[in-house]
This record gives sequence, structure tokens and C-alpha cells, in this order.
Amino acid sequence: MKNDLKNTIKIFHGPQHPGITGNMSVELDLLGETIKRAQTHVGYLHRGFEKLVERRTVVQAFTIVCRICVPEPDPNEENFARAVENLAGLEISEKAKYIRTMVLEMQRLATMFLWMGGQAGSIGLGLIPQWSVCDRDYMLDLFEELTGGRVYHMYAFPGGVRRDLPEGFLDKLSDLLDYYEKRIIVYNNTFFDNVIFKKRAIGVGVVNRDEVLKNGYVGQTMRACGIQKDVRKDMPYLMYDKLDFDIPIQQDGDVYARAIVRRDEMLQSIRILRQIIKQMPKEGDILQKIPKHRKFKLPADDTYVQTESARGAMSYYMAGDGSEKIRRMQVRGPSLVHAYTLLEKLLVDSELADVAMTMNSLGICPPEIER
Amino acid sequence: MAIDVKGVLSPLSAIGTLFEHPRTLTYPEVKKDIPIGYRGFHINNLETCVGCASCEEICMNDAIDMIHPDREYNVKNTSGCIPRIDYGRCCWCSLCTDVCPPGSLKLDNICTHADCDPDNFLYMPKNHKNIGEEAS
Amino acid sequence: MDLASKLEKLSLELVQKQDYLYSVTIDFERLESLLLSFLNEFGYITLDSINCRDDLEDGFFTITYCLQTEERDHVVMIQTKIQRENASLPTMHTIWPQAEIMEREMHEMFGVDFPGHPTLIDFALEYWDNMPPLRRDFDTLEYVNSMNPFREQRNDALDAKEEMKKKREAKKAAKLKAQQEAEAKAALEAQNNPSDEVKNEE
Ligand code: SF4
Ligand code: SF4
Repeated sequence: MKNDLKNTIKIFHGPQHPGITGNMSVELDLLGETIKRAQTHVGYLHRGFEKLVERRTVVQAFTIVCRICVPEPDPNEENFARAVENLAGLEISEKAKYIRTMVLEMQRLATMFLWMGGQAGSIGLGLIPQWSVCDRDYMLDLFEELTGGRVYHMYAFPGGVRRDLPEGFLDKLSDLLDYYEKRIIVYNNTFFDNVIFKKRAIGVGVVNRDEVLKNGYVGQTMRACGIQKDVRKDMPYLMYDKLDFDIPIQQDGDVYARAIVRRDEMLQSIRILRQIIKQMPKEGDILQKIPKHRKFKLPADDTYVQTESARGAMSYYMAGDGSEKIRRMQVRGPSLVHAYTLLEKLLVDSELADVAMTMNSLGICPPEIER
Repeated sequence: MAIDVKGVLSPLSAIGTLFEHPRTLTYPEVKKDIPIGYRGFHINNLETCVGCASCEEICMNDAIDMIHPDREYNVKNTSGCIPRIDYGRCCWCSLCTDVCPPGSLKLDNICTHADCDPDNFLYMPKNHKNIGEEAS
Repeated sequence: MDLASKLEKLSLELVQKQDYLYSVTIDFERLESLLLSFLNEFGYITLDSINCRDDLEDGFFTITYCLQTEERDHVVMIQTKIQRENASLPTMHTIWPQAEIMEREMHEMFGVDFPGHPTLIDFALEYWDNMPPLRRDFDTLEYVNSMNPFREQRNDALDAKEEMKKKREAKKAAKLKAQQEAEAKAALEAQNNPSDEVKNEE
């Protein structure tokens, strides 16, 4: 090991590198263009959510959980709400469940578009990010109408959702889905079938299939290795057991396979959303009555909930202690293990130019590592 | 090695978008209409605000201060105070508007404010009549 | 469930918490062997996360290991309690590589020691020399106030409860005053009136 690193130079890739999806850096030891050792460093974005939550009542804590992950806040909200509901024994109405499922799937689509921008941008295809970020913005417009916020929605409240659907919302969503279906064909032509992307991505960042399950890799990293697991199917929450969808898989485990899995998941999301539009109940409560914020007490118990986010399973551990505050909330997103256990290993003996691409395709999101 | 003909040619279809209408707005002339219900700046109906400080209590960012207004608007105001919001701290979570008992505090869909002096981010919610009447 | 009977042989109880969530509580001495038998015998190959909860009042940390099978269709939480003072846990990084980073984080945030862990270096907080921040006796508000001043322009904020009291008292005083005034007026009138009445009568 020592000898390997003899003639290397050390560079920091990040925290201000455009290919990094947030504030994080990878310390690389380079021999020419080849990476000999990689070490992940975080700490540029530590905001201490897990500690902040302990100081607040449940209702107050609800407003900061969405900030744990910037590109996709909704799985966090959903996890928080479901954990509180589990602890407090709240039952939410069918309509609220449908709305939440819809929001999660909308968020998945929006995140995928943002990912596509990052993935294409990291190999220098400058056109795709411009398009895909624009396409994501149409989804954000819908969010704005539904929840009142573009990125941080603060919508899935313990006990339901905070607002009812605006008039004509489902029609607008349905129009947008038509548009997205057309766009995905365009992206197929320009990005997924693009010979540049194929040449760069095929055979790079191959994840060893035998490690996947044991090391707790989740999401597309797992499914691109041919393991057909998805929290939505295995431990269905909300309305997912009433909806019909497939889990796309690929066998190669490289960057390209993960990209294809993501594209197929976008199509599945569109399919799920179409079913939701059809099945959405017209009438129904959207929010359970919950006690006032000083009187909302959680029992001394703990729970563990999982949601499938656009990058893999996102889990929350939550414990109450009989008072109105949450005793402990721990976030376990996909990024922590991917950025350390997996990325440090994958980067060894790969090229410097592939770092950003590999990182992007693993779905690493630093805000969620540090919480 | 065989050449991937499709992979070479199909990305060229992007040239077609040169002739499409741009998706962006020419900003100052054309503005995006912000939907009703957007969580923008606060408005407060001082005629119905009862000065109960519920909004101050629930705000976990300590963004709300209760201060005396320039004159008395509501004789039923129990403390004679109205909220003022520090926009350096507010996160527009709208919890304060949810708890307001008479429903006088609301979020408007106006959301532009630029200033180089941080003290000007202490924002007095605009007095706005006719809100909260449905609620009471 | 199959697992329940297996655990019964070890005189442990499997508690169902939610639809897909089970929990086992075990004392610290048997933790390592139980984790190994979950991995090797019961087929729980994935370590999903390691959590630590600070039960300050009772003086211990509650540690939770979340395990999943290959099917990933349910989660088992294995919980144990360790002393808060000089807390130490066996490291699992040789069995589950991802435990390395989870333990590093727990070391930084709670001050739990892991003998034999190769990289107990800084995780997110570099050059931190205070108490491990996620312990519950670490007061964030105090820390923040000692580091950052509050904005001075906000010093004119009033305490609404005080103001309410003041206003109530002012109202009472005003009422009292009004009453007194009225009485005084009445008395004055009573003084003046007889003559008026007399005049009127005349
Ligand atoms: S705005 Fe509403 S909550 Fe705040 S003091 Fe006035 S009445 Fe009370
Ligand atoms: S919107 Fe939220 S952060 Fe802003 S003043 Fe109201 S409660 Fe506080």
C-alpha cells in the first residue's frame, strides 16, 4: 500500500467541483490519470438536523425534515409523517394516502430529471442538463400549485396532507405526463442511445453483485445488478399494494445499466401516476385532527420506517419518550453507505474523469450523509 | 469494431430543436403568474389580529417578534401587540398561519424583496383587510 | 413465525411492532454472538443501520441494529443497552463493511468507543473539541448563543404575556377610574341637583 502511493499526487475533487452533487469532497491519490486511493470527506454541510429535532415539538420538527435532502424532500416528509403516525397510532384516510403516493411519484420523476442533468453534465453533454432541468421545472410548477412551495413542499403532515387538490390539478398532471412520455423518447435518442454516453459509461463503475445485499446497497445500484428488490413492492406502504407496476432491472451493474434502470423507472412512475389519476377519490378527509402542538405527545416507543426514494431505500428510526418532543430521529439514506463503503472501493483504479460520473450514478447526495 | 450507427445518428435529432420556440420567459416583460396559495410573504389583517402570540410560540425559527403597532387597529387585541417577522430566519413553513386563531395572518403570493441592509429584512406583514373573515 | 421459535430456544422474545417490523431485546454480553447467529444461521445478511439513542435520565444508550434478510421484506431491530459512561461496543466492520462508517459516525456523535476499529477519525465535525454533540446533555441553544450574537435590531421585541397582563391591568385601572369618575360626577350632580330641582319646582 505504501509503495503504491509513492509517486502519486494528491488532489481534492470537490467540494466545489461541478460534477459533485453537493458539498462533499473526495481526496484522490493519482498516478497519472489513474486513481490509486480515494477517501470521502464530508462536513461542509453539517446542519445537525437530528439534534435540532430533539429540541422541537413534533409539529415544529415537521418543517425541517424536508431539508435533509435537497433534490428530493418528499420521501423524508413521508418517512417522518409515517413514523409519527406509527408511534401515535394515527390512521390516515384513503384520499390522503392517494395524494401522498402521488406526491412521492411526482417527486421521483422530478428527481430523475435532475439526475439526468447531472449524469449528462458530468460527461460533458451540455445540452441534456438544460433540457432536463427545464422539464423538471414543469413538475415544480405543479408542486407550487399543490403545496405552495417549489422545492420544499412541507406537505405530508402527520395525519394526512396539508391542502386539498386544487381545481383541475389532475388534468394538468395528466397533460404533463403526456408531455413527459414524448420527452423520454427524445432523451432516448439524444442521451441513452448516444454513442458518447455508451462509450463512457459501459463497463465503468461495476458493482460486484455478491457484495450488494450484504453491504446494504440499495436502489438502482442494487437493481442494476439484477436484484429485483424495491421497498414499494416488498414492504408496501400507502397505496402501493393497490397499484400495478414493475421493477425494472439490468444485469451489468455499471453506470450505463443504472442509467437504463432509472429511465425505465421513470416510465413506471408515469404508469403509476396515471393509475392514481384514475383512482383518486373525489371526496374524503385529507387531514386527521391532531392535538395542539404543545399537547401532541408521542409514547415511549420506537419505530423504523422505510420509503423508496428515487435513489434507494430511505429509512428513519424514531423514538418518543412520552413528552411532546421526539427523543431521537435517525436518518439512514442511501448515500451514507454508497459514498463511503462503495465509492471508495469503486474509484480505485478508475480514471480521474470518471469520478463525477460514477458518483452521480450512485445517487450520492451529501446533505443526507451529514444530516 | 462495428460502428454504432444509431448511436451516432440519433443524437443529431437534437438539431431539430433549433427551430422550436424557446421555453424561457423574457423576464421583465413577461412574468410567470404565481398561483394562489403560493407561500410568499406574510399579510396580516390588523383589524382581526388579537395579539395572542400563538404565531410567535409555534415558530421554531424564532422569526416572530411581538411589537406595538403605530396605532391601535383592533380594540379587542388582548396584548396590544402585532407580529413582526425576521425574514433572515423565516422558512415560509406557514405553521404560524395555520395556528392563528382568527385566521388573520396569511401568506400572500408576492415574494420579491431585495435589499443590501439586513435590518430591512425585519418585515412588518402588510395590513390587509378582508382576510380571515371566512374563518371567523 | 419461524424466527420466533428459533429465538425462543435462545430464550429471547420476538416482538412485532408494525406490519413489517420486529424487535428483539438482548443484554450486552450476548449481543455479538446473537448478531453472528442472525447473520450465519437465520439468514439476516443485510445490516441496514446502527442507531444510538441517548436515555440520559436512566444513564444508558440504547443501541439498535436493524437487520434485513435477502428478501428485504421485513426489518428486525436488535436492541441492547450500554452504560453511558465510557460506552464501548464491539466493532462489526469485519463482518459488515458498512458498519465502519456507521460506527465512525456514532463515535463522533455520541462518544461511543469501538476497540479495534481502524478508522475512528473525524467524520463531519473537524477539530471539534466539545462534548459529542448528539448526547442529550449538550445544549445547542447555549452553544449557538455563545458563538453567535442575536440580531440587535430585534431587541425591541415584547413579551406578549406581559403585555397582555399590562393591558388587562390598564383596562382594569381605566375601568376603576371611570367608575370613580362616574361616582364623583354623580356626587357632584347630587350636590348641584337639589338646587336644580328646587329651581325646576319653582
Ligand atoms: S397574527 Fe394571529 S396568531 Fe399572531 S398574534 Fe395575531 S391573532 Fe395571534
Ligand atoms: S412561516 Fe414558519 S418560519 Fe416563517 S414566521 Fe411563520 S412559523 Fe415562523
